[in-house]
Amino acid sequence: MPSVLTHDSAGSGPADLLLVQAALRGDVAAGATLLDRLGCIVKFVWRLNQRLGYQLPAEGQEDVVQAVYAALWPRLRDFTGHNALETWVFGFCRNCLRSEVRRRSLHARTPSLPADQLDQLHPEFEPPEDLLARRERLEALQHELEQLPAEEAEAVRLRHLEGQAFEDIARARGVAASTIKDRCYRALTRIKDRLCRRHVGGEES
Amino acid sequence: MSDVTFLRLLQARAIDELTPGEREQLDLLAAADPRRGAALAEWDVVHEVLADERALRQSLQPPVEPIEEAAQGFVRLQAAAARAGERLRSQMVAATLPRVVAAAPARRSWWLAAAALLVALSCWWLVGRGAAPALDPNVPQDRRAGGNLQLVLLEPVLTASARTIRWAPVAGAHGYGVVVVDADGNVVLSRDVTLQKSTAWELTPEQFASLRAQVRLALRVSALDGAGIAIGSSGDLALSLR
Repeated sequence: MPSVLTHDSAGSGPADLLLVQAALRGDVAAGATLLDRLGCIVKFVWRLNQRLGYQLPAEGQEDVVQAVYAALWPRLRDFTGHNALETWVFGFCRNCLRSEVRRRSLHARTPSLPADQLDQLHPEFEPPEDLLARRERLEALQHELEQLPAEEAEAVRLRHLEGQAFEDIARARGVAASTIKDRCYRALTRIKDRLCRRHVGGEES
Repeated sequence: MSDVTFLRLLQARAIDELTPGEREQLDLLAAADPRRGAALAEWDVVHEVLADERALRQSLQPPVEPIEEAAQGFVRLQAAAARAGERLRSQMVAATLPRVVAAAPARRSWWLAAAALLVALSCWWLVGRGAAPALDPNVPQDRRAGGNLQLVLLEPVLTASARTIRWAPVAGAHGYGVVVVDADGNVVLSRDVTLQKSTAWELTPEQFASLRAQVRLALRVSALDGAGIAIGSSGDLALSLR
C-alpha cells in the first residue's frame, strides 16, 4: 500500500532515493523532477494550516514554505529512501509550521474565527475547543513519534498510520511479523505512557 | 475470567489486533473492574489519536482543488515556493558544476591576491605540519564537501607518445571528475564520465593536438564520493605538453 501522502506521480522510497541522488549529482532532468515533486510543500502547508486551525496569516505561511525549502537543502543527502519523498517532506512541513506558529505565539490561542468562517476552512466544522484539543493531541503524538528509536517509529508509521499489514512490513524488511508486532507494542506503550503523563501532569518531554 | 485473559486481550488491543468478538470480551472484563477499565481507556485514547492522525494525512492527499488554487493566499504560497525552488535549483547546480567561470576583470586582481594567500597558507601548513594533508575519513562527507585536496600528479608532462595523465588515488574517493582548463580558467577538455573511477586519463592524439595549441594549461581534479558528489577539489595543477 503506498503512503497516504504520495500522489500518482510519486515513486517508491528507493526510486525516490535514486532521483535525489541524481539531482545532487547535477542531473538537470532529475533536478526538475525533484522540484516538481516538492510542489507538494505548498499543498501540505496550506492544508495543515487549515486542518489544524493554526490561522497562520499568508505571510506566515510564506515564511513556512521558504523555511521548508531551506531546511531541505542541507538534509537532502540524508534522505534514505525508507519513505516516499512526500512522506519525508511532510515531516519538514509539519515541524516548520509548528515552529512558525510558536514563533508567532499563536499556538496558545483558541481559534477565534466566526463559526461560518471556520466552516469554510474546515468542511466538517468542529467547535474551537475540540479543534484545539485535537491539535494538541496530534502535536503530542508527533513529538513522541520523533523521540522513538527509528525502527519502532517506522513500524508504527507503516502499520498504524499507513495501514500496512504486519506481514507485508515484515516481509519487506526480512524479519518475522512477530518482530514488527513487538516493535509496535513497545513504541505504542511508550506513546501511551507519555500521552497519559502529559494529560495528567502537562509534562513536555 | 482471569487477569491473564484480560492482559492477553489488552496486548492485542494495544496493537489493534482484536477481532470484534475479542473486543466484546475485553469490554466485559473491563466493565467488571475499574482498574481494567482505566487501562483499556488509555489504549483507546492512543488509537483515537492515531486515527485522527491517519484522517489528517488522508485529508492532505487529494490533488489541489480549483477553489484552493483560486485562493489569494494559495497563489502567494505558490509564488513563494517558486522562489524557494529556484534557490534550491541554484544550490544544487552550484554544488555540482566545476568552477569554470573566470573572475570578472574588475575583481580578478582581488581573486589573484586571495589565491596567492591561499597558496602561501598551504605551503606554511605543509612545512609546519610535516605531513601532506589528506581527506580525513573520519570527517563526515558533508563537512569535507568542497574542501581542497592534495593531489599528486604522477606525470605532469605529456608528450605525443606519452599522452596519459595519471595521479595518485585520494583516500575516501570513489571516483574523479577531471577537466583541463586554459589560462583564463575556461574548461577546454573534460574526461568522459564513463571513466570516472580511473586515476588515469589517456588523451587521444586529436585531443593532445588540440591542447598543444594552448599556451598554458592546468588540470583540475574533483574527488567524488560513492554518490558522485564532490568531496574536494585539487584546484588548478600545472600541466605541460611537449
